[in-house]
Amino acid sequence: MLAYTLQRLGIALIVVIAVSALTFAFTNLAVDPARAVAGEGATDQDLARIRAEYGFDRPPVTQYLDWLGSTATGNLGNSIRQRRPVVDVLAEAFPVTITLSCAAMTLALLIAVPLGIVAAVRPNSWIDRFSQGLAVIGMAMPTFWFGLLMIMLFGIRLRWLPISGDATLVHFVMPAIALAYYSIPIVMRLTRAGMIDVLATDYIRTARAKGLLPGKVLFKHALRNAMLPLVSVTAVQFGHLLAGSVVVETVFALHGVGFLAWQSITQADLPIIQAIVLVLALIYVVLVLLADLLNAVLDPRIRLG
Amino acid sequence: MSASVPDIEGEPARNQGPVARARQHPVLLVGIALFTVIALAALLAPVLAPHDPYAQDFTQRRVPPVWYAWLYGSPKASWLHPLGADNLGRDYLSRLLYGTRLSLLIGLAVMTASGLIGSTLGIAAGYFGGRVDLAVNLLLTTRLSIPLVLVALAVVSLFGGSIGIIVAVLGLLLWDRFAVVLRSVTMQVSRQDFVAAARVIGCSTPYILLREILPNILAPLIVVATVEMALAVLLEAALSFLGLGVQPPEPSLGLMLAEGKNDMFFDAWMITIPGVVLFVLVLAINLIGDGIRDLMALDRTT
Repeated sequence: MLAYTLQRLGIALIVVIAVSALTFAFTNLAVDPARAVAGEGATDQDLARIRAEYGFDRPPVTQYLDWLGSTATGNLGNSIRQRRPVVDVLAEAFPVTITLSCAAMTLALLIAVPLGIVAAVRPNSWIDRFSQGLAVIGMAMPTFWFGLLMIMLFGIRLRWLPISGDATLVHFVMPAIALAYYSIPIVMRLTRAGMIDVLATDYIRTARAKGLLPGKVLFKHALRNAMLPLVSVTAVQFGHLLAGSVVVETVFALHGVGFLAWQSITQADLPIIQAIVLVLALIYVVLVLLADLLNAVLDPRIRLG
Repeated sequence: MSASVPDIEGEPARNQGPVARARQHPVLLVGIALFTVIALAALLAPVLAPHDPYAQDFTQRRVPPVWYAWLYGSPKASWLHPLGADNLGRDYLSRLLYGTRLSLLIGLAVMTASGLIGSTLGIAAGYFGGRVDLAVNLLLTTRLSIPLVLVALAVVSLFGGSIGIIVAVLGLLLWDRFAVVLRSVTMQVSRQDFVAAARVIGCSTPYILLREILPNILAPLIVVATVEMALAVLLEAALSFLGLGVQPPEPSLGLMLAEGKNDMFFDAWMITIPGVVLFVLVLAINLIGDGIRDLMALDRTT
């Protein structure tokens, strides 16, 4: 278990460093940071002064290590437009996105897992066909269009739900649905496939043969094994939901990380963009690492194999 | 459908050629039919479009689609603009046709680019294993931890929303599924006896990869290609919707949705029509992929 944990940690660390280097190299190659700070109409003297002041004239590797060092200690620099620490800006936006993503993930699991189980127990039944159809439609539906349709129906026509902002939890209902439905087909298909495979195994036949109640076989014997791949997929999907919030938050004007990212991109506020990409990548890596370790705890074949 | 679900047709279906089996597959047929109609409409856009998609006519602003005249007695709606005109008086049908053309073009180009990158990496990792596999795996994990939409948005905004940039960015970001799937199928195929036999009789590695491995992994390759093309079409629309993809006045489905958003309180059709086109296009691509997956009895996870 220790060797496995160390190996996973090593990979996670390499990935984080690679992502940080890519992010840094990319933003610095793409735009002259001095010009971004100076804004429109800066003279060459202005640019030279800014380069010296902000340290943009040093070798790229030195700048990168410097940036990485201060990032690791939690100093993410200052926002160019908002003129305050990036950490403060992020701290305001993150709770909104975390609330949204957690709500969406819960909703997705609550809908997709039961549907997947029923579909697996009764393949080719009407409920199987219904959930398969739902998955096909879900996969093809653009998130932002789905959001707009909900706004038109529930917000404007029926006036049931507020269409923008994040003042109360009710404001999160439509965005959470818009974000959740994207994960539903994937989780449902995986649950269904996993359950079908497990239900065909010998130990399930044995459990049934010795006369266990069908419910007990299903939930106690089959489900536990079918859930193993779900752990990893839930982690990956949660990462996707965090990153995918940029579209949903823009549609519903929720002032979370996604909205902040979109705003910062349109304003060329590089320190914020860098920080968001890095933090999201870090969260993703940690989630996947946790899922790997959790799977190893749950399944001895992984940690011993 | 998972491989463990018994085939209803049973054994005889196996003896038929792929075309004959495809004919009995409704999902695949519907997908192909929808896609053909959309692709033809997009290809023939210059012939089919009733107006110039860029031509503005301020006397025709926000003219609703023709059925508004029948259902609600709208005086402005007419066959002049069958699907209405946008807030600059540009013909909606013409813009939809050219927008679909752009979606298909970007989808195909991104699919090709990401397919080349991803399948090269995946096949190399699966065939050579060892250090190559490890390196590809690290590259893959790095790519997966990069937030896709965000980085695509940032890059497009930094370099400008030309079609070339959009294709390059999405192509460089969407190769992950190709690599994952082709790695595992290549690994399975490489273990087969015919590959060992080819090695024994002295075939070169490129020959083995192209003539022995590639034909055997073509089906999953095509399935992943449909998934990625659908994703590319959706992402282009999302980027354009957020104002950081295809730039005005180009007709793009995502951009049309963004432009119609301000009028959605009064003219809901401005949102529903481009959305339906986008949805049906992606649905058609997905149905083709699902159909092939079913026919080849591939795993759901590909």
